[in-house]
Formats: sequence, structure tokens, C-alpha cells
Amino acid sequence: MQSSVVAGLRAVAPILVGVVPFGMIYGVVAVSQGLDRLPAILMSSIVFAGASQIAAAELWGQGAPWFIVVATGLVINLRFLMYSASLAPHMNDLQPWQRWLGSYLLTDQGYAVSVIRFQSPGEVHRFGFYLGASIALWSTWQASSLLGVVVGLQVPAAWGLEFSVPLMFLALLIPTLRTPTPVIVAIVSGAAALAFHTLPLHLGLIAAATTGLMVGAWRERFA
Amino acid sequence: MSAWGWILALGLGTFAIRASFLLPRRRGEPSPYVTRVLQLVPAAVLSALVVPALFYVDGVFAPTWTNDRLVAGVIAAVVAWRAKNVMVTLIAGMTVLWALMLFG
Repeated sequence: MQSSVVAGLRAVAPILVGVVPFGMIYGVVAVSQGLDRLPAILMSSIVFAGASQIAAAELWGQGAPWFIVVATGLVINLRFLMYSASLAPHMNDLQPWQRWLGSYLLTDQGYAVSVIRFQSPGEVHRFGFYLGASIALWSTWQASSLLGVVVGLQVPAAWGLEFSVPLMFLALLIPTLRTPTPVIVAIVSGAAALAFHTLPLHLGLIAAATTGLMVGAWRERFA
Repeated sequence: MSAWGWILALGLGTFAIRASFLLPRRRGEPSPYVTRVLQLVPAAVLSALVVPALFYVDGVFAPTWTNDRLVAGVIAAVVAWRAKNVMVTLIAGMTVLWALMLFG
């Protein structure tokens, strides 16, 4: 199992470098929206989901009611439902504490590197690999968002550092486009996201992803 | 107003979503078809996150070459395809963005 933990850590290492600016951006956004430092820092371990943390902090800063802030964050995090279902078959034989810990640690990047590894040939202790990748991501997220909170308002907005958020999602997206079906799904989903961009409550993301997945499901069934 | 309430609610709700299929003991295993569809989830979700961030500037649809983020994103996508490396992609995208902001 230990070698699998290390393998997970190594697999996620190149992604960690991209998580650092993401976490720092969250920290900067959180304090610049008027969040106190302690809740801004602890949100990273209580919620532990970057995109939703950034969106929630921005909405709260704009004076949105608390239930809109929560609903928007949950809508953004609904994608974890699909990751959870996708990972569950790989985690059939786990102890309860491993399921609780694994659930808490579920992220885009940890999911991505784990699923890619589980689908590749060669033996691996799956929970060990997932744990190694996830704990590395968790630690990096805590440290970098803490750094962002401390640096706070001193980062000039003119640098456009928040652009590293879509760049990181892009770097994760491109490697999934190896066969025609995911390419079509990504094109449909991206186009739908443009069309649905003005939907309320950030529903555009889920509506667009669902549209892309429905086209993908149709292709898997009939094409 | 204190932020603790919505932070805790968002944290609990997010955990419930993450745990939905991982925690229950007696859950059916997805069929091979469902599994194949679930494997398309990252492409669908990540694309829905990326594309609007490149095409919308301050809430306005801007599908033109004067949109610095769109140009930087397209170049970063090519770099990501060739390099298969997050940090190289980040550096390439930010470098192009800064160059366009300075000299564009």
C-alpha cells in the first residue's frame, strides 16, 4: 500500500504546482470580498472545493442572501455526485473510515488522476493511490489558500492571476480528449455553457454538463 | 452578518454530495453502460467550466481575437495538448495573457 500512496503522490505532483495559484487566488478573493481571515482560512478545510469557495465568497461579498450563496456552491459541487458514483465501484471493499475519509477528500484532480490510473494496466492499491494523491492536494490547498489570505489585498488585480483558474481546468480537460466521444461531449458542453451562461444561480454549469453528457450517453448507446 | 453559517452549510452539503455513492454499503453497482457514460463526466464538466471563462469578458460575450483571454486560452490548449503538463500550460497561458495586455 505504501508504494501506491507514493505513486498517487507522484501522479498528482505536476498538478500541485497548478493548485498553488488557484489556492492563493481563493485566499485573495476571500479577504478582498470582506471575509475575516479565520473563516476564509477554515473554509478551505470545511468545504475543500476551490471553485465553489471562490464563487461563494464573491456572492457573499456582493451581498447575496446566505441560501443563494450555499445553493450556488452546491450547484457547482454537484459534479462530485458523478465522481462519487464513478469511484464507488473502485472502492467496494473499503472500511467505513476509509469511505468517510475518501468522501471528504474527493476532488476534481484526485478523481482525475485516480480514474486514469485505475483504467491503466498494472496492479495498484487503489485506496492507497487515491489517498496519496488526495492528501497531497489537501495539504497544498490548505497551505496555498492560507498564503493567499495572508498576502490578501496586496496582489494587484491588474495581473489577471484569476485567469489561472480556467487555465488549470483546461490543462485537466485536454488529456481527456483522446477519443471522438469525449471530444464531442466537450464541444457540446462548452457550447451549451455559453448559451446557459446567464441562467440564475450558476445553474449554467450543471445544465451545460448535463446536455453534454446526454449527447455522450446517446452516442455510447447508438453510435 | 457572520459567514460561519453559510460556510458550515456549504461544507456539510458538499460532503453529502461527495459521500452519496461512496458511503452507502448497499448500493447497486453501475452497469457497464452507466460506467462508460460516467467516464465522460470530466470532459463535460471541465469544458463547461473553461469555455465561458474564455469567451465572456466582464459578463459580455466576446468571441473575437481582441479577447486576450480567448487567444491565451487557445494557445494554452495547444500547449496542454503537446506538453501534457499543468504547470507548463499555466505558464504559457499567463505569459501570453500578460504579453497581450502589455503589447496587444
